[in-house]
Amino acid sequence: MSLVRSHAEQQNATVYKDYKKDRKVGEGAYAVVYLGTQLSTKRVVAIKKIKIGQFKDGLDMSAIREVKTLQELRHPNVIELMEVYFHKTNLNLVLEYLESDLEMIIKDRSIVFMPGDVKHWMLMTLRGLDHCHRNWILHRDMKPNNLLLGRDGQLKIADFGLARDFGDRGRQLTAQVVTRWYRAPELLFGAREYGYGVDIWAVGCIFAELLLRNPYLPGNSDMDQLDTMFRALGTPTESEWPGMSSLPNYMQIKHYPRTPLRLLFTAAGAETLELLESMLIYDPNRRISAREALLHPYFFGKPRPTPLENLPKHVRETPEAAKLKRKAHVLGALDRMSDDTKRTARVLDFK
Amino acid sequence: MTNTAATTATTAAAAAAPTDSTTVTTANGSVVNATDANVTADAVKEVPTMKQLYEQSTQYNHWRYTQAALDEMRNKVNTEAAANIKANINEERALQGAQGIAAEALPLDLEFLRVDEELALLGFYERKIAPIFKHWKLPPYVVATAVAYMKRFYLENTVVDYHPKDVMLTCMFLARKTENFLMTIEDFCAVPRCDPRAILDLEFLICKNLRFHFTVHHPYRPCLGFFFDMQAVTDSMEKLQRVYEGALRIIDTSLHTDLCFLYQPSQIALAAMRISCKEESYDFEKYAEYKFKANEAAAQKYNEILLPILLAIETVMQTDPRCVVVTKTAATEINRRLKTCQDPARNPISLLYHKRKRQESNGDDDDDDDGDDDKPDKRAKLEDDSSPE
Repeated sequence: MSLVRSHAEQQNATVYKDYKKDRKVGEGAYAVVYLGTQLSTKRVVAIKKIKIGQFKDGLDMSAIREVKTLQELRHPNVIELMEVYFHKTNLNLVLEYLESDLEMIIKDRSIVFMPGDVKHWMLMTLRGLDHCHRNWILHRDMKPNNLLLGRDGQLKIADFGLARDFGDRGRQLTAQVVTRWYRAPELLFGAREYGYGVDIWAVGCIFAELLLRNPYLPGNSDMDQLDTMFRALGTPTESEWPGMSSLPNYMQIKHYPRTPLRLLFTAAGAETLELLESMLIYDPNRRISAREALLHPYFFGKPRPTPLENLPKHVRETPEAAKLKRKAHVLGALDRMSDDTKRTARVLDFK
Repeated sequence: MTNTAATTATTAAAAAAPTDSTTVTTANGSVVNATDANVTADAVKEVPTMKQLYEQSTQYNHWRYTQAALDEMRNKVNTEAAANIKANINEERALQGAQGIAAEALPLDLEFLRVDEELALLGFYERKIAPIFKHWKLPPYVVATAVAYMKRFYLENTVVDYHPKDVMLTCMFLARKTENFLMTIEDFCAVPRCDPRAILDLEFLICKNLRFHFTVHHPYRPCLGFFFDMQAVTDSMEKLQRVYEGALRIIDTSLHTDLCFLYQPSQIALAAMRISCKEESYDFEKYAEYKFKANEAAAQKYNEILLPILLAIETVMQTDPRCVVVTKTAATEINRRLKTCQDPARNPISLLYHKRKRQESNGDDDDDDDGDDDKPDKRAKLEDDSSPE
């Protein structure tokens, strides 16, 4: 019996009662992730419980960003936010459950990638991202471990805790976004106005990582990130990237010559490298958009993208995990979730 | 312009507005199925076919009503609240009687607020948002978002149950966050001088009532799009600039009406431009010819679909009493009446309040399944720095 007669309260209670948390699959400073069940449909779901009670300013920005953006996005390649409800002082996000992610697949040395596999993962990533950008939403944390993979092979962009709208004149955005290895050069130079290019740069890094099976630009610090980037792609000049030197945190970095991509990506075809190169253009205004990328010849040439059902799946190989093989599909979430919690320490400037 | 990255953002804004405005012309554009098959050929099919973006928004799918539906909802909430309070007053009387307390403080012949009075009181508080946000130099869309949150909240709640001042403050605090202008609760409360607890206590409830839909589209952006678009056929930029500024003021006023529930932001924006053209004696028809009457079929569509919408919006702007500022005297009077019919179940000194509290704690059996929920809420430690108004 509630003290307050309210339709919204009843609705919230109804939603709450429809979900059962089965077991904890990850815990971080501010969120706990459970594997759960929607009782009315028996559907397996992931429930992200955010402990709002810890925040003195009420609902925190990460939760708001995630809920705000996911409510507006419905696409086969974007994770579905099924429900949101409060329980006690916690906010619960019910998300569709996916077993693994692209990072797990990349690290699984037992899997050999075929060019068609990479092509289909890129296709799904860009379709999902194009949908975000078309809705004027930047993801701002694109990386392999935020690209989840379902049992059916479908790839879905997840973790919208840093996402926000973009595209209006004069709105200042924070440059403190995107995990370092995937961070675009304009962000490293402190740009406060930027666009879809930051996500595309990250996708370019993911593309390279899929081809190399190793992180492409693994800088040790923000400074080292620029050095690593310029070592790999050459130090940009003002003519290559007009306006670069007037960015807030611009600094002159040692001049490295540009090495052609084909020297590193020896197995990749010409169209592959051309698309990769157009995603890793220094000047954000000349960098390819998700939509343009989807129309790139790479996606129309051979090989065809591997059909969903034939895409590599992640199977744990350690002896310890082999014992749990029966439960493999359940455990799939473990790596992702524990990793997900690592970045809870990120500090943001929301001004 | 200090950096090149900025250009991207600027072009994006220009592109955004006309995209939105096209939803006017193709009001019922077919929705393309975005389900992807897994062959590349589908990339070709999917990419050029644009789904009507606005039709995918929570605003379009969950917050559109007819005027009749709005009236019915408000009447229902209003009647239910009055009946509920009457019942609670009777129960409180009975409880007091049982304890031998004279029930003199509980009037029987209450004059409950009518729906139009509730709306007037809301209009009074809605208009307090802009000056406070102006103090922080926040753009108009943040004001509009806070107002929209208030309006959405009060579709299923009444000022009798939740005082608009508290709801207003919470909606403002929430809008700051959802529109990316985060501020600590202490800094926020220093300006309207209020109690942080009152805000934080309501935040959950308001989020629930908003159905966790935080994105609100306003007419400002499509209006900028029309301003750009109309420049293609203008004789006087100076005059058009004044038209645009006038339209923005009309949009400011429209926030206080039900238009946001009845029409799309782009439709309201175009109607505002049209009204402003009249006021500035600027030829709107020239633009309408260029934009909407390129051929006979288009002209017919404009005359049959869009024009009636624009006229309906104009009528609302001319006739809705909520376009007029509510005076402080009127608001004070409504507030006074509101106080006389307070719900004893919400009054912590009433017997009924304590009875319900006891019932609630006895009935609380919905323990969470993980046992780590029971950390004390740190908010309770916040100092009450409010000062009397």
